[in-house]
Amino acid sequence: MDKNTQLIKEAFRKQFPLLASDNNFEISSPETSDYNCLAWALHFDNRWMQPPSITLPPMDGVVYWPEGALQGKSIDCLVDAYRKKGFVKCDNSVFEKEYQKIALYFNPKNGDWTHAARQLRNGFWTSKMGSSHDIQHSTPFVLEGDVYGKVYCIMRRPFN
Amino acid sequence: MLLTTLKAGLKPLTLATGLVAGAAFMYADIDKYTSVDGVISNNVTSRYIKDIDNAVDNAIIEKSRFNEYYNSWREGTMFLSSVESIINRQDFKAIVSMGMSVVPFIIEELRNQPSNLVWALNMIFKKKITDRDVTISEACKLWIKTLS
Repeated sequence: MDKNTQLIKEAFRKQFPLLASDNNFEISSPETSDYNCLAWALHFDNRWMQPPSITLPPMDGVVYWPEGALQGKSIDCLVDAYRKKGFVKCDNSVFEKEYQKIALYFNPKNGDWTHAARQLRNGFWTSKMGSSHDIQHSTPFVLEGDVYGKVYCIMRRPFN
Repeated sequence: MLLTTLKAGLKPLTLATGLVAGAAFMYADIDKYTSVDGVISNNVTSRYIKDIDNAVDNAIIEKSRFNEYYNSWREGTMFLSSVESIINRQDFKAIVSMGMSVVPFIIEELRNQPSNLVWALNMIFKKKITDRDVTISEACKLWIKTLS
């Protein structure tokens, strides 16, 4: 691991302290603003996923929200958006080889969605961290804390 | 003995002070802070130099304001995914409220690294750079091309 990667990892651990005890935490992409975590959970790496109704002015690169899904800041809107893409709520984040799982995060104080992570076929999880890097992490729960709040629910859909 | 040591220590200091004072004197006529009006007799030249000084000062002040807001915004939003949370911050609003004067600084940043700072251009110009669906990186390139 080069020095730069080490510094980036340290910066992440500062904001997400639980990553310090995650042996599978890795930086897995260059830094880019081309997509956000919500889009990355659906495998998109070329757009920001955001409900159009809460994006006030016209914004470059913010282009996607599943058709017919509820629009808003509430976590229920995010659940609905992924439901429109075939996900249903499930009760755990354990890897099941027939299913792709995602974790949705919210701020318990105001009920707003904050983040989404996706499980990889190796059982680890991937997250696009805002306009920063993608990372790999062991479980969805290691990103809980001040920045992303708590995991609200796990959802799954059959792998294609 | 003590006096001799003191004298020896002060000698280089005296020399350095003399040099600095001399340099200040030499450049007195082009420095607005040393009452340039009193030194240059030609009013047109005097006004011209003053205007340039003021323009340079303003650009430096604007750039430093931008850097302050930009660094605070970047640090505070690096891990956020909600566009609304990213743009509804005081530091971002402060950048946008600087208006056209901030555009060269934004372009400079986007040249160094394409980023969602491009949204400040959307808000200043009240438009997207294209109606096509493009990535942030592509949008940055288009803005740079258009405004350069």
